Amino acid sequence: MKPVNHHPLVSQLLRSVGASENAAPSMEAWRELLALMSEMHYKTDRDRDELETSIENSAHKMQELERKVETERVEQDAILRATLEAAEGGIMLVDYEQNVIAVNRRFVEMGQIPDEVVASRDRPAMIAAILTKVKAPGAIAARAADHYKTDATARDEVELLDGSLIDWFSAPVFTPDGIKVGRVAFVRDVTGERHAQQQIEKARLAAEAASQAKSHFLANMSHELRTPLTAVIGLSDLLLLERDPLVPRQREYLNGITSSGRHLLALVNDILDLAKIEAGKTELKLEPIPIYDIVEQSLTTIAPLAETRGVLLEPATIVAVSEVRADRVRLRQILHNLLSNAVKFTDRGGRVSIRVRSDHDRVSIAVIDTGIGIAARDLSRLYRSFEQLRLPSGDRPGGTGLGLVLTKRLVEMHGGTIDVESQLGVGTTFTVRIPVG
Amino acid sequence: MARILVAEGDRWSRTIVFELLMSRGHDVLCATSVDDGRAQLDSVKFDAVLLDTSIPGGGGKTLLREIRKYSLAIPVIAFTASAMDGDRDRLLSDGFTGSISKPFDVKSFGEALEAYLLSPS
Repeated sequence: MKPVNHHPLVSQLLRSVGASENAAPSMEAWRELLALMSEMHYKTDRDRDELETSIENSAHKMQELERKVETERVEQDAILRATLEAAEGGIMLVDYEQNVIAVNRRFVEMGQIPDEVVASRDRPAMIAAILTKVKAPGAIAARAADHYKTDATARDEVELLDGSLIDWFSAPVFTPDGIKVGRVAFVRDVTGERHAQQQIEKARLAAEAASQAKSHFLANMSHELRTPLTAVIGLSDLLLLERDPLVPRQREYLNGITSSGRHLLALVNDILDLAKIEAGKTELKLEPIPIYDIVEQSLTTIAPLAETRGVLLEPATIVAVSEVRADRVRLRQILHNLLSNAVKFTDRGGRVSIRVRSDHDRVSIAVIDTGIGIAARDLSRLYRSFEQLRLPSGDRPGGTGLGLVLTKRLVEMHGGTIDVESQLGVGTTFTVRIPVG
Repeated sequence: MARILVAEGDRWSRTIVFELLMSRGHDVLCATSVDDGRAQLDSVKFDAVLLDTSIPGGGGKTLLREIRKYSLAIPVIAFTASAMDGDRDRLLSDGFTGSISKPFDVKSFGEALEAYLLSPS
């Protein structure tokens, strides 16, 4: 008998019931075979049903998921869009295929980009539109291209044709797994900011230059004034030292030249002093100073001026105090300034006096005059530079207008105070109080 | 008695100093500029130099530098009309032996200068 070529599955079935492939199976084998086949059918149907149900379920779930994802995406888009629009500056996000992923209204406004260009979502078109509004578009275009390529952040300043300045900051955008997907630009109008910065810088430079010019001027002035003063004082002193006798008038005039020269020198020093004090560069040499000596010296120095003006200098009154701890030169300067003011603002026939007394832990030195007095409204101007009070005639009283300013500063450097009491037409009293030790 | 070079740009300062030093018995020569001073220093041996810090032709520092090249010992006294803070310290650090300010006291000038002559530099 010719062997039958069974389907391999049939061969397998036959073998499983113990039937030969080439012999007719027994009844028993047939039954077994049929039962087996029935079982297989049944199982297949059941499996298929299960599979179908499962597929149906999955599809349903998928749909649900998709709906959910879509809802979330719409929500997130809305949030992102709202965030973009809420930003103060302009924002544009691009990918690396020259597409604009997102752009906010502010960006469009600042770049003055036409709506159709915005709608195109085409990065080169956006950039081109912006470039028509900027100064030096060539350079900006080149830099924009460089920034598009780089993996780093970039910052640029773009000047628009209308004069406004835009700060353009851009950074690469990465996915959480580090894949670079695009670049985001933040643009900000910094015209006002930059303008304010420039103004501040300009003011700072001007102030610095002014301060330098002032120092330079002071140094030069000192030098330029001292050179001719050297000649004035030195030459007249040389003549005074000559052995040949001078006639009294010559001697008097020479003395006038030297004393004026020295006075001028003192003024130069005053101005430099004030400049140095105001720069915080002055140090005092504190030592015990005999009051009587220094008051007498001051009165002697001021005597010629008082005599010229017909003002009587009264002998000093010194009560219960013999010394004060001070810088000799500076204290003399203080007294001289107060005395010369008193004499200058006192009419012919008036009196100027000094009263020194102990006042608790201080020495109080009062310079009193019976002069023209100071109006209440002028008291606040007393210690200001170059704010000289006028004489009743309207004339300036002479001097630099720095005397009281310097005096106040010097008194304060001694840890002291200066006060003034005055009554128009009656007189003025300046009182300096300096710690005893 | 010393031989002193007075290198001073201002005519009157020069005159006063010349007279004062002569009257004290010193041998005094004057220079009016850096070049003038250099020429005199090249041909005469001095015991001291009184040097105007703003002498024409480059200032006192220029001439001082040249003097210091061949002698650290010679007293060179700065004669200056600048009186700003720190000037004196700066002059000393520049290499001056000492300094005298202008205007100066005619009566004490001679002694002040002679003090530098005696001090070893």
